[in-house]
Amino acid sequence: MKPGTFKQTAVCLALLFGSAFMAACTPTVAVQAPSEPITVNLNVKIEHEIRVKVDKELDDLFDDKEGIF
Amino acid sequence: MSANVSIKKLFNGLLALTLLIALPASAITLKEAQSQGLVGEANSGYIAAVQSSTPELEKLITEVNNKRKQEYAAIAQRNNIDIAQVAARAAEKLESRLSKGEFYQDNLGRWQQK
Repeated sequence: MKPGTFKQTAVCLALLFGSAFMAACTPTVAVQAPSEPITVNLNVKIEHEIRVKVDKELDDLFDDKEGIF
Repeated sequence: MSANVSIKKLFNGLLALTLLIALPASAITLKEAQSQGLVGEANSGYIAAVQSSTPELEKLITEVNNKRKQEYAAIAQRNNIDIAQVAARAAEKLESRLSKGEFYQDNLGRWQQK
């Protein structure tokens, strides 16, 4: 066996272990996040939309009915 | 002489009549009352007398607030939310629209001058 082959094998093994390590770890991090925050975000979004809509209607109202605003 | 007096009477009568007709038109408007510091934007989304009130001012306040209430109610219904929420949002927006020197009520109900 030539010394170069050994080096190559070592690098390959390191890469293999490395990627296996990454593959094993990454999903664990990603899986932790979901469920609850999504519901919260949805609520915030809906409330925000209503708020924007009400704001718009109020602005129109202020312009239309100048005598009372 | 007597003709002169009756003409004078007629003239006075006409003057009184003119005043009577002109009075409702000269009733204070919301803008005037606001710029004179008589009424301010309450933190409820409605207007209120800043200090002392007069019957004329009360009439204006009641009229304006009743009309506002109707408009708020319509918006609340369209968006399926409480009228108080609409009125509260209106209060914030109205406060920011005031000109310098006009009055608004802070969160604790104290009158502040913009």
